[in-house]
Amino acid sequence: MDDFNTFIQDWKSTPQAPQNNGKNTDDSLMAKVRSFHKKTVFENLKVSVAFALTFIVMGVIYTVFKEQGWLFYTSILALMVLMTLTLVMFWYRTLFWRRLDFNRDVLGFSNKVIKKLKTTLWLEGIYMPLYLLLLAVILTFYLADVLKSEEPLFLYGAWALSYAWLWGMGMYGRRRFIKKRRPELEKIIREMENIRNTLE
Amino acid sequence: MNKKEKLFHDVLKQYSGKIYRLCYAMVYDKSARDDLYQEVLLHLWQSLDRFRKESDIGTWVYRVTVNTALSHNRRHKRDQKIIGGALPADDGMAATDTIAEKKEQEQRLEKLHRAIRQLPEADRMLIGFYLEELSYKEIAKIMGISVNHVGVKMNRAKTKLMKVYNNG
Repeated sequence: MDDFNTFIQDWKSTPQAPQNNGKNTDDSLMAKVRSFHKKTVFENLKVSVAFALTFIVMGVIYTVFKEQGWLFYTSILALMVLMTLTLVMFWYRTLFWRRLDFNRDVLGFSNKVIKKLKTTLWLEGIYMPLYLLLLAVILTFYLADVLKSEEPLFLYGAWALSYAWLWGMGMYGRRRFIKKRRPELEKIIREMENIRNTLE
Repeated sequence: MNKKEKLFHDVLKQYSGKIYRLCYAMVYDKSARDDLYQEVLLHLWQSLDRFRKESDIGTWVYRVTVNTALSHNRRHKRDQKIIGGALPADDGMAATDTIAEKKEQEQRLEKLHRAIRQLPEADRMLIGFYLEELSYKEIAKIMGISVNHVGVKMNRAKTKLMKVYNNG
């Protein structure tokens, strides 16, 4: 069939894909995972340093200011517990690379990455707003005790400023999460799930 | 370069063009096609360790390609048979050469691809293998059916393709 001979010639002239190899195929997704992992670790380190400084300041306040009300000590302790819990969760979402070898155990690696990324999604999407809310509650009690001898207006002003600051942080974080982080994370999760589904 | 990398490099050298052309037949959306191609390469890389030397490497490559493409289409529930002209206009095949023959060939190729995409998934695969000049025996091995069965299905697929091509 002449037509099919022509088809065969034409077919062979189909444009080629960019030259690639299996390692690069893995690597393009792995590059995204590594880059995301680096950003996560860097973020964790920043938070750890900030929290460490806060702990030191809180520790000093706790020990220096004696004979304060129970609200004062409770709110400082509550803050320390909240921050410790948050820090633990931040580090929990980090993938400890050396424990897993992608080439030896692709399925295990994919499952681990998906789990960590979903934890990050939950942390940034659900836990952080909750964290700010709890922080607001703690600050309410703390300021109520610390400023109990001041004018009520001063206390309300302090509360309002604290809430405004937390609200601003919350809105900034939420916007960043919805516009940038969530699509980024969901894309990597989808790609890892595709790999996992084809291997299962 | 270790043994596995060398083998993979050799496989790619010989088969990357064929794999991509088959992906072209199976998936019409360019970005999905590139994804499928990457997925096939990934599967080939991952399954190289499990490749049993008794089967022909070409058969193994095509089998991985077919299985990946079928699985890809099942997951995305698109790129199934389409009737009519709902195809992307720009398929990444823009002419870069102004020579008349080359332009004509590109137009014929585009028409051929459009015709192939209107076939059912199984026929697209068969036509792809035929255009890659695989023998019926090789196709039978890849698809796990008899040579006679390949012959019957191939004739039907070629008839359908000619009909769609001439009407297009």
